[in-house]
Amino acid sequence: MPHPSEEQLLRYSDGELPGRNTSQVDSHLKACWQCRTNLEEMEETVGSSVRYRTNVLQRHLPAPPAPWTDIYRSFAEIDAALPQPGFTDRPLVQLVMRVLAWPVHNPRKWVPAAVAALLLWGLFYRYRITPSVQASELLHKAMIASDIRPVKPHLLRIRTKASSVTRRTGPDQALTANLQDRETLNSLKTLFHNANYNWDDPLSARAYSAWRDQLSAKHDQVTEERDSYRIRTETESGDLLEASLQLSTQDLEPKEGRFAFRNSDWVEITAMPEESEPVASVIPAAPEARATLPKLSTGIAASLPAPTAGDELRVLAALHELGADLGDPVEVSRDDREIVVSGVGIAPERRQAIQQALGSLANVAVRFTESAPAGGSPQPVAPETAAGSDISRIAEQMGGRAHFEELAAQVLDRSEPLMARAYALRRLEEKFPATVEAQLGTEDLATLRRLQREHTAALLQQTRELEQTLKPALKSTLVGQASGLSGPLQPATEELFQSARRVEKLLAVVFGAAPPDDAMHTTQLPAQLISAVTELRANVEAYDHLLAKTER
Amino acid sequence: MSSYSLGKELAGMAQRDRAAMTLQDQVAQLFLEARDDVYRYLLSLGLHPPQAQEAAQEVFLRLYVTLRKGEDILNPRGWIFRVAHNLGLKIRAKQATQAPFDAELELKLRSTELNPEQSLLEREQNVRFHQAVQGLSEQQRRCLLLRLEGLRYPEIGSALGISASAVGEFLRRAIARLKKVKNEEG
Repeated sequence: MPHPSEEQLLRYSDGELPGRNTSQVDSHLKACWQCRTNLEEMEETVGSSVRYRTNVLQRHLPAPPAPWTDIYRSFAEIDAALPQPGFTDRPLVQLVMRVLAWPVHNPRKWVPAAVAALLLWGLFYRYRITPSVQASELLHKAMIASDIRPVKPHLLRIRTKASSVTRRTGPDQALTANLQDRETLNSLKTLFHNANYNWDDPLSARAYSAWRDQLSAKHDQVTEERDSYRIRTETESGDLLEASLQLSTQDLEPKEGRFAFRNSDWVEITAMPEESEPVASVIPAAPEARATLPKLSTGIAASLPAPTAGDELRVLAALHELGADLGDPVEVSRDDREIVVSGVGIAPERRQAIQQALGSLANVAVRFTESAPAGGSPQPVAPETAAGSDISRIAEQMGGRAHFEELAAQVLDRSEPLMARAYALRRLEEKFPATVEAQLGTEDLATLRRLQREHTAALLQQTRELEQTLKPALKSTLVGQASGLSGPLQPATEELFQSARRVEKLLAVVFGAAPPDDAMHTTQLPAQLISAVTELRANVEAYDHLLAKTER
Repeated sequence: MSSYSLGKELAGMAQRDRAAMTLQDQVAQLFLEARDDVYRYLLSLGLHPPQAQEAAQEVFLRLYVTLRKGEDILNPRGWIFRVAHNLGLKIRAKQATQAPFDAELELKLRSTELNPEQSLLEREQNVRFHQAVQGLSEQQRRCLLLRLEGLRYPEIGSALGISASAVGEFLRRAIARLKKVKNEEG
């Protein structure tokens, strides 16, 4: 492979490269002294940053001004505020009261009552103190419950770090002839087999119990969740270090099992509803997805057609239809197995829309992780650092604070979609540089141009609006002198992007959302902004022209 | 009422109480471990110390509420910094007229009293590195600080509302600029 870029090297050392690229960089580094030295220098800088955090930030930033509050008290306040039964309404309290009242109402039976109470205390103590007894008892009951249920094979969804497959219980496990799925299931079979865990029916109390019973030392934990019990067992012996089984409170039927192995693989098995159809082999997996579990995926690539740049372009076009190529934290990457569309913190409806839009395309894996935080989706950049006196002065020039703030809100709102377009254009250029473009078919090339021109048109529109809003407000009489960029497309895209970046930065500084750079002369900020916007407009126009020329 | 079913009922309830306690303990543990980090990150967003401390506490209480409602949070640390970031920006936006907090670190780094064991050269190096960090663009600095707090690229991206590949690019530029400063020192 050619020398990895600095960004690839950094991503490599941060473990953020997709698995295949990691091994490529790995072998390149072994061969190349230059890159190894670059990487070492980078690591040294990372080291300096870590020391900066410890020696400068941790040491010299002021300590919190007050003692930290007792957080348990705050928890209690939250608990009190959240809907919850009162103290005497609590089932435990009611039960104790009932038990205590019983001998009073039945005076002749108080002796047996006392015995019963002692017995109860004993049980209570035993359940509370020794979870291992509790765990084996619960498993025992779950086994009896499963014996009562009619025997039929059921479907399991299995998720690993690298993939997700569906199988049925029993020795003949695979649902499809899909080579990749079969391969995955076979590796899992070996993994479980080596850990002495029955793979024929892994999501069962019996399999769990059999594994647990053969452990020499273990630690159990039993918790009750909303409508289920969870048994968790940790051990130091064997390949399987931690397992947990979730049992429905209602009928003790296993719902989910999680398994963490010594080699840091993990597997999650979920029971699928009876009526559900087998799912496609590629469905959402974890974010770190393709980083590890290499043995589950090697040897498969050759048997499947590798996705092409054209395939990737069609994915981007589908996302574009939804506007998901702008602003949403959605990533698209391609390796020789599939095109991965991943996203973090995307709202469920949006996820569904994206899934649907990509549904018909081949070789696409969609991976979403983590729900959005309470309090809405992340806000990009909000006004946060006022540059004090400069702002006041600009505000004065513009006819007062109120007017200024109104304008600030207006233009700062505009800079965000504008930058999204600039990023989108740059991303297209990065993914489809001239060399890749040359491999695209006529139709795909037309799609690429359409995407580029749509983004460019929107960018131009937004820039013009911005210019029209700003010029009168900043009382500028500047006439646009910028000549605009010129071909070839690749450096032009970067230039366009940097030009948009400059506008964004100046907008943020002039309207008080960011402090000025050292290089900026604060007295001429409004003039700099106007000329940057004018230049951007000229650049977008020239870029549009460039794109038009390439189509001919 | 048979002792068997009563025992079972009791066991169930004891578990329920214990599960609730575990949740409190978990969040309390995380609070203990990460509150100072969150507080310092909020200072870096320009919050003044009392606000930063209050906001840091608020973040952990939000975590508790969210978990109590039964939401599954895969990586609480990533979640905490994301919520802290958004909350911090909101607080700053409300006080856009007030100057952001300045810890005057440069002054502190130069002080011999505060750094008695350091040589002049070491102090100068610290100052230069600090200046370089301050000289990074806002996004570069935020990416760097969040990465230093142990967040992965997608988590940082999610906190800042940008893509993971943009995070990679910002970090690369940050590291490149800091490297230059180090190299200049020889």
